[in-house]
Amino acid sequence: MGATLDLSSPASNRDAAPVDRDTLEAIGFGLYRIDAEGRCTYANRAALEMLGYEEPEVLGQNMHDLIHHSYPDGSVFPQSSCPLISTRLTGRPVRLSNEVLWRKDGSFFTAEYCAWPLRDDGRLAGCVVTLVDTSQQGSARNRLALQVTVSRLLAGTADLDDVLPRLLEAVGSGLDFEAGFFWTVSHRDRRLDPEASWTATGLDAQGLVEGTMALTLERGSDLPGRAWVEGEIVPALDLEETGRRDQALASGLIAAVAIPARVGRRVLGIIELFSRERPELDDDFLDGAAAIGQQVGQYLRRRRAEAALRDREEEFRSLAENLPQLTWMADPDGAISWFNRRWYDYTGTTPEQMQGWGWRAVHHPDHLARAEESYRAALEAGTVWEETFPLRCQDGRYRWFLSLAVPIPDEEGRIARWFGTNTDITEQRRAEARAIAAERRLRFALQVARIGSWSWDFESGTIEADDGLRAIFDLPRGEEPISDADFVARLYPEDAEAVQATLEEARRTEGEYDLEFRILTGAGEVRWAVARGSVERKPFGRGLYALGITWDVTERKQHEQDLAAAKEAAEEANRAKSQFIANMSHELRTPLSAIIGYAELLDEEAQDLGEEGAFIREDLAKIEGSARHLLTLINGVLDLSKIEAGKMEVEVEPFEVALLLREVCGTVEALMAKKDNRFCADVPEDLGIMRSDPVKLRQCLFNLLSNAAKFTEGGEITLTVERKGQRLTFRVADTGIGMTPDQQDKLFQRFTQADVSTTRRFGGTGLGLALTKAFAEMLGGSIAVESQEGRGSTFTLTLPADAQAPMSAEEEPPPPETAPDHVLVIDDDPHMRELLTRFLGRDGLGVAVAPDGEAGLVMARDIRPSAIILDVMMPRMDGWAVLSQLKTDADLADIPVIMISMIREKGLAYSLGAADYLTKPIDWGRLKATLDRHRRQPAPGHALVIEQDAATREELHGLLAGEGWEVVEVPDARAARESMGHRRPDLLLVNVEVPEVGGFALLRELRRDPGLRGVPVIALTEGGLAPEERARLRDQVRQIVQTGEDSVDELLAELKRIAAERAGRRPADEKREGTDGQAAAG
Amino acid sequence: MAKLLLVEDTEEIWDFLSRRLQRRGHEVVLAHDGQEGVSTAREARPEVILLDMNLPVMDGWTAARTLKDDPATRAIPIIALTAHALAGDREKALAAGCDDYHPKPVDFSKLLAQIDAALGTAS
Repeated sequence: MGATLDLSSPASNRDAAPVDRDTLEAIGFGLYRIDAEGRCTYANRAALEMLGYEEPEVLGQNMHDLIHHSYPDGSVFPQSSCPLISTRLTGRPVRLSNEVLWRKDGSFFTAEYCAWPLRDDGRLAGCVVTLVDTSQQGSARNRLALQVTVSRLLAGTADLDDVLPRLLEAVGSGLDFEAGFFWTVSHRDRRLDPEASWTATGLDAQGLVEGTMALTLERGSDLPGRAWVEGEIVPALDLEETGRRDQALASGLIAAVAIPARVGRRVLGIIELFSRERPELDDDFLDGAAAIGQQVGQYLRRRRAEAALRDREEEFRSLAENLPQLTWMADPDGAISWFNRRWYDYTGTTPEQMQGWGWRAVHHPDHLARAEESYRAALEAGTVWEETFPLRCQDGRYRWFLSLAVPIPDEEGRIARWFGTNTDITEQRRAEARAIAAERRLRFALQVARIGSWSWDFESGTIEADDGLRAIFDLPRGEEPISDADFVARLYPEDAEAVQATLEEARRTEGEYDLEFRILTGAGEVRWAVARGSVERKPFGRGLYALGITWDVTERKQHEQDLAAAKEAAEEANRAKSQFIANMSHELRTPLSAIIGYAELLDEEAQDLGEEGAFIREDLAKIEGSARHLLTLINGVLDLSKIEAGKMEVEVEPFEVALLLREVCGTVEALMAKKDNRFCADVPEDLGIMRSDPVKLRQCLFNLLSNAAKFTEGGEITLTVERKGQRLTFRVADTGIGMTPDQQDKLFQRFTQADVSTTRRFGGTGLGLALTKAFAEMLGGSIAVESQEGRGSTFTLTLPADAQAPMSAEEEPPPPETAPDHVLVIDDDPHMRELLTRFLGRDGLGVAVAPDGEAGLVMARDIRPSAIILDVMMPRMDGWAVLSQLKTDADLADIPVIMISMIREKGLAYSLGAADYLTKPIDWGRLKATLDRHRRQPAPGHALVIEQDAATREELHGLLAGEGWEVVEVPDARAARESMGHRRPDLLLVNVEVPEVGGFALLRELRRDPGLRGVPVIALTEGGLAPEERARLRDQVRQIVQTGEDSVDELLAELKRIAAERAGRRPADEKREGTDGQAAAG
Repeated sequence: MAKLLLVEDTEEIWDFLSRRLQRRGHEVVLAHDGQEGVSTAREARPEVILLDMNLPVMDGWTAARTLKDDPATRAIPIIALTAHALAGDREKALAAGCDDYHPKPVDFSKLLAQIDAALGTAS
């Protein structure tokens, strides 16, 4: 078959007449001729008919461009690729069996396409091309051609939309059908969708096409649905089971066939073809159609895979775009082709700037070389790239990134591209740097402080410890955990149990622990250590562990022990010193006794000599004076040792301050004159009464004044005294040598003087101030000094008015409501005030004094005395004026006033409201009686008399009842106990001498009973008590009274004192008693 | 005047003291330790005893107790002479049975008064 006309065969045709045009026009296959340039010079009728052109349209045209311009799938077929060109160029014939040729109307057909060279005088002068439409040939050959066509069609890269109609045309026309549809299978939705349609030229099948294209078929329905189910070619030779039968028939189509496009058993699409004639479904047809179905199936699979790949690529990009990191993709050579949005946002760059290796611009210059080097190395090795480096932010600052790039291989395993991410790790790096720095600091601190840290895992029984701890515990260094057994083995055996118990407790309570214990090192050295920490739950995982630090306190312990030993030694030495001083002063006093004694003896003897002995007596006086001075000094030392031994006693009694001061001033006057010092005493008269130790106060003031006199020459020494409420301030100022601050610091220390030279120049032992300070403190006060070197010193002694009442910080006197039973003495004469103070104080009365009428009125309002003793003759405001003011003041009118005067003016006194009127010299007994009568005296309380002798009992009863006491008498201790069980007495009078009474035993019981310990006791004797018994008794009772006429006054005085004291503290007492009573009842 | 027993070991003291007492008309018997003091008291029967406390052989407190325990000498008043002036000395002396107390150095006029008082109570 094919065109076998050999136009160039010289053997048969050279000499014959050339084939004429009609001959060529007559033959049944197409023929055209082209010249050397490829232009058409002739085309016969058959060729023009096949191609659908008129002759003028082809002549002079390039035939390849006209009919062979595209591949079956529609893509361009360049002439340079056309095999036919070689005929024109080389003179060799070319024969193409199934070539797609394009008609003028855009349709195509397959043809056998051959080119034959034309020679003119042996020179190539173009060629003759023949074309035979193979679809007109036998079916086998036809189908083969069809398959080739379909293959070519599907091999191209054109879009599915373009390929499918051509495919239908090729297959449909190739298999003698007139219309066709392509259905795509959606496995997911289990349905078929029409994708493309074709109808042969000249066939009007619009109804069918429109009907079909609007359809969606389910699997199994209609012809395509069945073909899907069957997976095989399904014929419908009479359009049976075809849903669009009427529409098909309307177009003259009477038969149909559905060809599945499949891969293996999997159907991807259906080709549905319609025909005007019933096709002959022989094996040849079926095989060909099945082969085409396979071809199309493969094609569809490939296209779907490509689409899926495109989708995946899209997804991937979208993912990469949306990752929180900066992401990028690079070509296999490392040039970056894509960055995500974040990259551009962060760097502030544009895709153009970043193309290829543009990323280098945002790297830090110090790190770029390193980053690039490792990147290139990874590219070459095809391994994952990991690097950290700073990248510049658009604001110009750099942040650190961790960059990671992975190679992505293609199907063949070659690296297709790289995918990279940059994660901002600036914060992590900072946190890490902070953590590292913190850890280093901690480590350093622990190391410098020599503190060991450890954690004890109770579950595993191991301890992780640093070198510090290992050093303290003398355990091997290193990272290996320590077993708890090794740890415990290092504990000092006696301490181990306590340590473990404490840890166990901490473990039980998940609490803290604080341990001090000893460690026994391997070498047998004992160390002290402190461990502190807490037991906690492990942060990850279960169970508890103890976390803690330990440090070595051996040195501190050693210091403590040394210190304790040193203190002990010092105290011992101090005791020895006190003992030594006591002994020493004793030893000194014996010879001194002799010196004084002999001096006095000699003086007596010299006295006997009369005039003759006079000069000796002067010298003897000096010896005695010196000896007595020495004695004073020794007494000072002795006083100090008494103070240090706690044996110095304070003897408190009331006295008038101004009087004592005058006495002191008189004593020191001579001393002042010695060094030409002026002495100035500013002592107000209204300083009132003090209850303190007058001997010690006198000594203090004497010390301060003689001190001032000693260190001042030709200067001035001033004594200033003032009273503010319950506080008295004595100030001694001098204009002497003064002191440096350093000297002031040492001033009150015992045995210390300003310095040694002072001793040489001024003498003295340095005892005076130390004693003064000690006395001041014993009296509840203090001493202070202000001084300037060369300018003088001022010593300030502050004392409470009552040494037994703690000095309150307040300047003001306590409120009058709390004042005890007071008698106010208003007298301008200090001696009188002093006398009255002593007299009244002895009776246990509180005494307040005022030096004139105005002060007296103020004080009366303040303290509300129980009585006022008022002098008549006073300067400024006399007693009468005071009396009338007192009586006209509603608050004060009730206070009894006893007038005292030299003159008898009783009538005036009574008329002005005085309670009594006494004349000087005072009859003390009468004063007392008067006071007792008028003073608002409360009932003293309940007295219990324990006395065997009935007569004595009766006598005592009368005495007590006369004083206002409520009296219960019992004969012995047993009855007394019973009575005390009913009611607590306020006073006990007990005969201690008669054994039957059992007085001593009762007293012992009382001392042991907290409820009765405070009850005042007066012991009654009959004068037969042994001295030891007396001495013992003195400690236990308030007073020992020998019964009999002589002691009545003594007893009465004591009863009054007790009553007055009770009155003074009654409110508090009663409160306490009440509470006691409740406690006893409960 | 009165017969006094002075028990004192320090020579200077008993020397001047005895001489001064004698000048005042008292008869003074001497003893130089506690033991001797007790025996002399028994033999010489003094009206008042001046008893030093720091004595050899037998100390003053023991001597005082011994004398007060003996009915024969119990009534003789004892004035303790002590060189200590510490608190408690007086109590200690009284507890030992002494009737009075005189701290050294001797305040002669006061001592005389105390002797007079002792003689007064004894009579």
